[in-house]
Amino acid sequence: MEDVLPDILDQCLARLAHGATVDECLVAYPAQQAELELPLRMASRLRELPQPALPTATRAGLETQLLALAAARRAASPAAPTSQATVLVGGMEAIMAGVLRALGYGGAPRSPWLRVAVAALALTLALAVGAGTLLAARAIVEIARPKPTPIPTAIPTSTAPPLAQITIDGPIEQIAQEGWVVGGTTVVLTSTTVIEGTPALGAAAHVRASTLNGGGWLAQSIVVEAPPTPTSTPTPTQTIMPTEAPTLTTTPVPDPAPAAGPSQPSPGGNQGGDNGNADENDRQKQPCQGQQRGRDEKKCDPKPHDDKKPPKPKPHKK
Amino acid sequence: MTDAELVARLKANDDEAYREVVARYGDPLYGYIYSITGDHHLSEDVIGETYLRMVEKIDSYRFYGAPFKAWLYRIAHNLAINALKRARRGAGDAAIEDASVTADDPATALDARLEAEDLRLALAELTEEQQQVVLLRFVAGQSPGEVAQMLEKTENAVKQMQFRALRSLGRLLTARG
Repeated sequence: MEDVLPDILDQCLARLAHGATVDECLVAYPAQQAELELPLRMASRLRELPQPALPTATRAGLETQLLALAAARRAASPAAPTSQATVLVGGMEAIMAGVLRALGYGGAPRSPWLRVAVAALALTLALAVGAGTLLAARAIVEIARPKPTPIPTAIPTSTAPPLAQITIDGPIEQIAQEGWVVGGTTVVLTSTTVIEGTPALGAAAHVRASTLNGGGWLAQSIVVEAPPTPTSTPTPTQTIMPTEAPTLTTTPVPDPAPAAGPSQPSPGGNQGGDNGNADENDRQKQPCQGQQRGRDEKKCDPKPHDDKKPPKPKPHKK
Repeated sequence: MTDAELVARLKANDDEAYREVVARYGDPLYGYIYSITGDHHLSEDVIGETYLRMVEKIDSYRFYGAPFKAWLYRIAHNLAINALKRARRGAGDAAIEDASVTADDPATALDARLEAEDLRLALAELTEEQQQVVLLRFVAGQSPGEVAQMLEKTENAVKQMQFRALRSLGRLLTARG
């Protein structure tokens, strides 16, 4: 009963607004007459309250005051940034209101709701833009960062052994166009080999040579000393002992340009070829025929065994 | 000019819009304020303050919220209630009533004026929301739907409040004799 009274009262008020009287409304609802009479009469009295019009002088003064305010606002903010922000926020709120209605929100889009929604949307957008900017900045920094120069930590990968330089001192035992035998060691001569003195068999020679890639020695310079003056006629039975032992001095130096050339067979049976190890092995088997120092010092036997006879010097060819 | 256009032009500080807002709502607002205060001088002060507050707040007003008319009435209502309280604190109820009686049109019947004053005094004893509902419905002439939108309530809630407010008002007047 109580629940229907507000609706019945509202229907009666609508009828009063269209010219009906209070009594006519009460007749229409006899069951609710006692409950409706007092509210209906109060509504009628309220509608009859005098509502004076705004006095003309007050209206004129009010208009003047408002126009002055409008002029002051125009002068104060011709292009205030706050008004642009207001328009932007208002636009976002209007869009949000449309979105809410499209999502089925039936109620009135109140300003607090929209402000919260707009704030959440703006926060989300700001976070997304911020994250994107951060990622982009990181990518730019990564690209612009100078790459660290790799520090070599390993030995150069070249497997070529460093070329050794030796010095051979001994008599010239053989002179040929492609190479000489000095102190029992065959050295290869090229056009770059510098020869000082007059080459002659038996003459003492001082050879500076470097190893060849394929084995053997490449003479860089040969200094020939004057041949010894024979004080006596050598007899065939005379055993000539080398008065001066050939000396091999090995000094490892970096080779600016690897020299290539065919190696010559050594007197000791060394077979020239591409296999440098085989040549080394052969050299190890032969006794030292001079003073070899450096790398080859350990590989030769400086003293011939007792059961072996010293090598006979070859007859000098002239 | 619709209310939406009026608001847009008010925000743009258009002179014509300022004239229009006075012409369109000056009389209803004044009557509404007078129904609360019962005093012409006080009502003139309140309506001037209402328009001033409108200009100050117009940039923050959003048209999709409460209708512009309801928004103006809410400003006027709050200012009128506050002005009435201040006046009563300063001069006492009797002074206000005397002033309102002497300020009324002399042609109006004395009984009617006294009856109106009784009604205003009874109205002042209602709750704030009941006062608003009653004044907006029967003085400002707004529909239950408009009042509901203004007060952010449902239409059924406004009808309930309307019924209780009118019943309470009747009982108060009956009790006054």
